[in-house]
Amino acid sequence: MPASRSTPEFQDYQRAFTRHIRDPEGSPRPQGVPAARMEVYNELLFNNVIGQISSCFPVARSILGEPEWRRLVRTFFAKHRCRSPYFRQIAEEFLQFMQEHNATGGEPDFLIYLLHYEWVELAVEISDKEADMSAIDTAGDLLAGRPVLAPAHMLLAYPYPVHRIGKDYQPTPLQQEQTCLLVFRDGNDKVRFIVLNPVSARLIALIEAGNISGEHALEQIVAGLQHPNPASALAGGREILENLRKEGAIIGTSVAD
Amino acid sequence: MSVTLDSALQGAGLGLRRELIPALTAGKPEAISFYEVAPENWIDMGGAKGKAFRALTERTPLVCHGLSLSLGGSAPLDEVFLRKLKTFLELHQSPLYTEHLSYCSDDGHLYDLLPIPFTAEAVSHVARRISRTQDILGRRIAVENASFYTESPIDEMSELEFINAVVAEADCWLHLDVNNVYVNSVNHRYDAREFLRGVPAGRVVYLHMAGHYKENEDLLVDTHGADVIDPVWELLEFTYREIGVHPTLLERDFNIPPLEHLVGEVARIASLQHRYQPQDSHASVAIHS
Repeated sequence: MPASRSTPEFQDYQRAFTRHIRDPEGSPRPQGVPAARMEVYNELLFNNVIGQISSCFPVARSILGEPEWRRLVRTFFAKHRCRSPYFRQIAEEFLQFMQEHNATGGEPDFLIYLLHYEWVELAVEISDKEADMSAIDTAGDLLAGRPVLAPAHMLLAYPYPVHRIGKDYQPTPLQQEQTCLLVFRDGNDKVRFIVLNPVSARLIALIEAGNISGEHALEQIVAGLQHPNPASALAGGREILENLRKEGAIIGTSVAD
Repeated sequence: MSVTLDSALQGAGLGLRRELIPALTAGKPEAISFYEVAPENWIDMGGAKGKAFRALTERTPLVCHGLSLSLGGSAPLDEVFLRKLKTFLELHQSPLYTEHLSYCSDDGHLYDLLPIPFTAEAVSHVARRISRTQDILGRRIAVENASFYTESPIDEMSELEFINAVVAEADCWLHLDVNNVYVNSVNHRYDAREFLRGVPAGRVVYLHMAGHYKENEDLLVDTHGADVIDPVWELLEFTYREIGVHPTLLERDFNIPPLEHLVGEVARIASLQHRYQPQDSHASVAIHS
């Protein structure tokens, strides 16, 4: 098809140039560009992108092995159009692409969950959410008061124990196991994770939704469970909350009205 | 619109990489007068890295050298990003924002610098986008001569003619990368000194120095991963003599050595600046003790 006259010639050329960089085997090198010089661009751009992505997903990469990993990133680079101007979000763009195209051929069923979990660690590490400590009583009573979570956190539920997946543990779909995790940045800005049982996960979800005392949150849970001994359940709940505070996942109680 | 360069920006600077932050937090060597970052790497950055960064920029001027604006690109300018950038520049009281005379996107970001064909239509296109950027940011910006590895078969003018035409039409500053002049002079077989003589000297406000990678005799790749080589130091002296002394930054993005090593190169820039700076009343008084 002849180039459309509605776009300037230099833009037609640019389009041919980037099409080739994205997919050197599928799109021809623009006429008049020497192969060796074109190759510099092909390599620079792909290496830059795969470098950024690989540093975020070391576990997924080691499980898939280098050829398969390169094939996936190559497909992403050819097909996906990144919206973010920020380099550190290339990993997130890759994750998005993998979630949308979850059938590029024979990847393990757990892969997108593992990718998500590996990305979460980066996202929490660099999140710009910070606590206003003037509005927090770090020693506040976690039952009477309203507990506050570390602001940079994500409460996650996966069908696989993603935190255990590695070269030596690659569960099949028959080995699915509902797994709740809290990933958070503690008071020393270290990213940490806690594996949660269903009750703790529900409790954190209620606290996350906001403006609820520890006691009210626990009462809701106990009512839902039809627990035979609500008093002991409440005491157990206090212990859960205190442990979360000790770990740095709860930073105190809110002193706001 | 602010059209004079902030006088707080002087001397020799160092590209601020994450790897260097602990050493710089412990104490900034005297030779370093300012830092430079890619704002894209720090906008909305929180956590320990964000805090350490903020602490450094509160004490030392910060030049912002962008990567993602894609001045030569065909997709519309990302004005959402530009507004974020404006806030970032104001937060860090950045005295200068510069971008590359290149493009880094088609209908998505490609995260590296590609060569704009040197055509008349491209001049107008790029100049319009620079003007729009200056309007949004409310300040004059500088554009950098980019390194490139292939000429475009549709070029209608030389790189130098292109640069001159763009900065004149956009009424912007020129950020002159001395290493890029050297890299391009080898890759495209021209005389670097002749090139520098043709640069619009009155628009130059800021210089870059860096090392590169020699792929072969006629192909240099602008990696910022090695020490500055002697011919590039000589070109810097030539630039100071012919164009003038301007704030000059050492870029080092890969194979980052310990801070002391980089400070040696920064100090070398500072001493050349001192040598070629027109002598003022303070500098001309030699004090012997």
